[in-house]
Amino acid sequence: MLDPRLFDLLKTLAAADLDWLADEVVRGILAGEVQLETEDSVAAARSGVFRARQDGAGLKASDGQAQEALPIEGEAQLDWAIRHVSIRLRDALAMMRASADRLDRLVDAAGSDGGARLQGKVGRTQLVLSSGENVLDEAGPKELSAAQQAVAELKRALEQWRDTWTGGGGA
Amino acid sequence: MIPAVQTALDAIVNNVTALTHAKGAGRAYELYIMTGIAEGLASAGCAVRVQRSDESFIAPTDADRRFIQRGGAPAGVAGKAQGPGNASSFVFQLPNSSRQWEIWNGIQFIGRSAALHEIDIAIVPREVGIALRGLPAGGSPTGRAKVSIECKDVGDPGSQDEMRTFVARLYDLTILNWHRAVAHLAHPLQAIYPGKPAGNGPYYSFWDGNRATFNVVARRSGFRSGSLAMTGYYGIQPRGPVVPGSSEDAALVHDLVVWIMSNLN
Repeated sequence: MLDPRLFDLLKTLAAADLDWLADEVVRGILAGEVQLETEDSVAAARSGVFRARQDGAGLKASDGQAQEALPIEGEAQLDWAIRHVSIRLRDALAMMRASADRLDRLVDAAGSDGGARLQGKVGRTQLVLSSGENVLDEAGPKELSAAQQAVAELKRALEQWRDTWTGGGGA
Repeated sequence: MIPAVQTALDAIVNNVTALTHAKGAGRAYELYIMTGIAEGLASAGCAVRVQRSDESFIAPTDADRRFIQRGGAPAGVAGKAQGPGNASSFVFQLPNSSRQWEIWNGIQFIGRSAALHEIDIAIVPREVGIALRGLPAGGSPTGRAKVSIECKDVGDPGSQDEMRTFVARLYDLTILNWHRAVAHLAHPLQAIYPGKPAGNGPYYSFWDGNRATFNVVARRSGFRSGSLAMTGYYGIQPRGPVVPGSSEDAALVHDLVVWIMSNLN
């Protein structure tokens, strides 16, 4: 069952047009703590993908059923939610920033006009999301940096909000 | 509402509005993996170019360096006559090889059943891209990419159903020798078309097709226990958690680049 103390956070996410993130918080908490495959078992699962012979050696019948999840309850739900929201946005922005930097390196490497780069005469990569007819977003290094800085503020604000409910005893 | 949280969120989404769109974070994840592959290929000595949808390349001296991803409904490859405002891609060429390949993001492929299947990241012979962009309104390829990567940026850790879905998608996209009787496929049969790339014959079996290609489910949040049962048999490589700095992130790029250098020359 969802802790009602989360409702303010969910409404705040929705008000910022991050309803998909509010949805992930609700689904993630209700799903509970699930057991994940280890990195070793993930690597082992792909070790046989290029084998030449089609045989059943080493294969065991499996219905793919996961072990039962452990419920997340009470204040642990608040901790789960603030961790998920801050890490999710931090990682998404870090990936966008890394992509933009890689694109700049790839484009720069396709020519030898380092002089233009040094003189600031060329542009930097802008990441554009388009519906086909309309540009939905266009973000460059300046926008990505500003958003990344705000993630630190977000983490502090989330922790303060949690402390108002827990008296500062959160994880 | 939580005012301080709202202020911080506004500062994030007002700068990067893409995060407010349903596909925004997912596209960011796909682009991260896609650019990692492109940079890995460049490091291995491949010539890599960033291509606009009108088939022009972004030059080092260009002021306009927009890399465009589609955020709306899934679609095929745009026609070059439609201009540079549609989805961007990569073109690469291996050292000592005349063959060129394209890396696509979020393109719909046509299966044998005529169903459309969106492949998050696909690597295809460049001839296919050129043929599709040559059509006034572009179009979708029929058949199977040499590399197909399903990117799962979602919060949950997946299930065996996710693997079933990907296996079924690849099955529908795999054109086999004995599909000569399937009238609506182009004849003579090719693994993927339009275009006439070299070494593009149909596969002998689904098993064979799965091993002549590189197929991945990449997850940001790892794999739920029990979700890997179908992977080895159907040649689907589970990869995750693939996030910046993870060993799985580095291993995916490394293994794929090694496979490309050996198999796409």
